[in-house]
Amino acid sequence: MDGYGYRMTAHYRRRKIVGWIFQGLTVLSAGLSVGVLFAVLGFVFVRGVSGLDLALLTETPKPPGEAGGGMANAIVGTLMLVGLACVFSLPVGIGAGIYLAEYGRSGALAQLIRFMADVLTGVPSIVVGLFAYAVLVLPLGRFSALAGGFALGVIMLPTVVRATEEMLRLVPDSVREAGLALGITRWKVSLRIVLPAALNGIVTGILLAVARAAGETAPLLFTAFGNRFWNLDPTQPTAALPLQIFVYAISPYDDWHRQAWAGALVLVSLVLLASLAARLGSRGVLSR
Amino acid sequence: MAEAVAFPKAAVRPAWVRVEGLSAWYGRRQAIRNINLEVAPGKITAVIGPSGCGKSTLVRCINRLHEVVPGARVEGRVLLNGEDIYGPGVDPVLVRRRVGMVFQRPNPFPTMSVFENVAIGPRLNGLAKGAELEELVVRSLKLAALWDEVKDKLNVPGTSLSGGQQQRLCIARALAVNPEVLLLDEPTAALDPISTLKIEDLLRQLKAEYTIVIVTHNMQQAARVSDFTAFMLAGEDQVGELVEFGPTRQLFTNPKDPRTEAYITGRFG
Repeated sequence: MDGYGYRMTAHYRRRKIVGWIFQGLTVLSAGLSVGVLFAVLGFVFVRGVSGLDLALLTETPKPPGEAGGGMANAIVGTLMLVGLACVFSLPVGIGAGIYLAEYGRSGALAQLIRFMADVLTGVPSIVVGLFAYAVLVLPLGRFSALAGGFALGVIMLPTVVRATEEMLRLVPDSVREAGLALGITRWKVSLRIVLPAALNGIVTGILLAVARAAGETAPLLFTAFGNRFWNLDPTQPTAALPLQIFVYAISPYDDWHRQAWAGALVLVSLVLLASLAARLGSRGVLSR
Repeated sequence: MAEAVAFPKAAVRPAWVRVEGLSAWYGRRQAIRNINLEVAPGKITAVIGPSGCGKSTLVRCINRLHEVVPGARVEGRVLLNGEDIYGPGVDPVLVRRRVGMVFQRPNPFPTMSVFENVAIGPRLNGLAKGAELEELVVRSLKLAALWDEVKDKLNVPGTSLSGGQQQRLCIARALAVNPEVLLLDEPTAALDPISTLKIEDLLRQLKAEYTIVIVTHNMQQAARVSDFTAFMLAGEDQVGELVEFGPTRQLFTNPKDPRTEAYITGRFG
């Protein structure tokens, strides 16, 4: 082989070492990123699992300073807020996504909507909360689940719009043409043929948006406000897990600290569950 | 009297198509110029020519699918049983119900079963439902010579069939809305030789009922299946024109135009 010049030269050795170093750095970075995630999860688990008991999941809070009680109303409240957020954001978000992918395409209006959606993604969530406060809490004269759900819906909206659009665009145009060629009207092609083909991916995107919204605290501070009692009326102030955790964590009571950790564990579990469902859903898309 | 009433609307079967002075553009780029062509009822008409000569554009004008491309535009007339499908007030959606199309790559609807793929057209167009729809699906699959292969797996995804089966599924899907004309845009370009022959046999069986236009890259295929052949060529300005049109036998054995002769003898293209 020597005749081909394949001998290890000093230059080659140096190149190889630099390569190893670079690869090592990327591995280290990857490890650190995942490490942070595991540290957070591990910390929440270790601190939270001791506070996790049946009362936490089934009882409402006790008066301040009194031990015991739970966050059942906050868990239900978070589910209700997320449900309301979906009611607000899904029809509009999916509709807008369909418009962008099926009708607007590269038109000026579509570009504008895309830009606005991206801007909305970057708006701090506390600002969204202020917006909900201004348009719902002030006119209605009280804090409510409705206002909280609306704020979370606004936070979900851009993700839903872009996820819907991206997934619809993955459906090849040949599918649309096949539908049109059957004499099916354009909106029926979009709704009955293209949308079902992209549904798994869209659901994945929605679940990720839900997971993010479920953990938001700031926009709920002056919208849903929190509530120490059961509430299923959307026009009333409502407890939410992140709010409860916040309130308990800054309280002076040890038992509330314990419950805050346990609540965090419940919240993280809910979010992880949603992400996991999203992952499984997207795998379904790819296998098709 | 019953017969007169029972006679279905727009059922001059097989239908005839006449293309008159047809030009088409994609934005500013002209794709075809002044095409004149008579598609005989109950016959198979092949459109041949090298890549980029506007064959696909021509057939996409016959079911008004060309215009769904943004910026696309058509001039001229296409008569379907004497009625101009580009006439004022003509709904392109209704034209497409009468002129079916099969594409180059088999494109069954993803996430839909074999049954659903065929049923969706008549269902969304309100042609049939329930038992009637099931019967229509079975009939369409039989017409497309696919029934025997899929009768036990109507609920598997359409995309899980083989390429040749998928293409016949697409033909069944097109037939299910009961078109008068069937356009096929290089339907076997993505298929193996055996699947290709199956499709060609199928076309011969269908031609009594359906007027068929097939675009093909493959001159042997045109010679095998078609009764008439149109040869198209893009000129120096890259705009496709019709060079010669006539009975297939004559066009292949005794072409009138030297360019046709050059193409079929393999001197270019």
